[in-house]
Amino acid sequence: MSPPPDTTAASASGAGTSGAGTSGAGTSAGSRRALKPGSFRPLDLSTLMFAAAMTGVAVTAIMRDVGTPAWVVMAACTFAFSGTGEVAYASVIASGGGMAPALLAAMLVSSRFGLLAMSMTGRWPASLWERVAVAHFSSEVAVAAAIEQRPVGPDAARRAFWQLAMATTSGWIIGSGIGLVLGQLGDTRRIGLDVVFPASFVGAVVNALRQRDSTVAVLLGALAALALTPVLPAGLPVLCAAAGSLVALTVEPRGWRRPAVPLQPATAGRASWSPADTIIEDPFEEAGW
Amino acid sequence: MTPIGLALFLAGVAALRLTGGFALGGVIAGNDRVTRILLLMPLSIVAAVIAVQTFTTKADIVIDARVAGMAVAAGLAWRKVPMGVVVVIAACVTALVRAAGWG
Repeated sequence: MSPPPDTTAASASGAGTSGAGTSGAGTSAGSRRALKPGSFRPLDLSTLMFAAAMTGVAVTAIMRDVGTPAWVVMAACTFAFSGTGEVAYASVIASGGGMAPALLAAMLVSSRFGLLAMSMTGRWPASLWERVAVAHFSSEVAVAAAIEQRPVGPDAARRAFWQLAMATTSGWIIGSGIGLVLGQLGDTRRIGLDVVFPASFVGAVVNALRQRDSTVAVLLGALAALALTPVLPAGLPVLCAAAGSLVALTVEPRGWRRPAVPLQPATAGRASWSPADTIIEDPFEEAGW
Repeated sequence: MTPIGLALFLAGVAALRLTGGFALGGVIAGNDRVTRILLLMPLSIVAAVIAVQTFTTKADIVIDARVAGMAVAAGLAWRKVPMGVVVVIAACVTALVRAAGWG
């Protein structure tokens, strides 16, 4: 997802604590009401909701295929919020496995949510219940957005997290319901539904390529997961890939051309953040794109 | 999934999430080095999930129409095209490449 691009400009002017991010490719920023930092446009949220709903439809179809009662499908999607876990469970059952291996596969695949929840701790002041809710709603999309908003401040990170978490959760539950009503969809791959899920968080990864250490984290994570997929049970490759971030730790946290910039802790406020941090040259621009 | 499977599934996922959000998160908060890991680790995980969903089917590496869709998505995301648009175009490209008979 793209962060509100105006955050850079507004902060660079030294003034913009509010009103950053009218955002958006192809829209004339001037005519639009300014969004709060970390906010997404309704269009972005509703398309993401739509994308999450499509995943919900697809996952429900897979769950129904292995004879899961409708209420179990709805309970699983509403209270666990782990579509990949459901798919892992169903695929073990579908290939003739029992409940124990199915659960094990589902837990392995879902274990990344523990790490995602862990990475959201201490990013903004939160009550006990908010922390429980953050742990429950941590997903790739929401966590990636919160991290992208980190330079702007804790409030922006919190807003981005909750907006995306609510958009994806509501879309996902609605989509699962629609999936039940539609019944068998046939091959959802025919309409490209299988890229909806990965494409919805490709933005965070692509933006990470603008800085050295996060580029290493991204590339090592992707390569490790691919290398391990043929040899480890489903779910484990992604877990092992998390170790890529340990190697990335040894790389300087700076852009490709700018001089070194110290990385701020997540809890640091705007005051300690220099606007120069986020101004990173765009190689595509220079290549004449 | 049976009702018993559902109960265990829900309990398991909740336990994983709360372990991460509390047991692990509480112990290590406030350390600069750890803060950096917590910033980089989700990126590794997200990249791994994208790679697995784009290039693999079950336990095999597979190059098919998904790669085309995701490549277009990555290019659009680099150009800061809004996420919703990226998702829809990625699905369309994948569907078109499949309709053309590849993957």
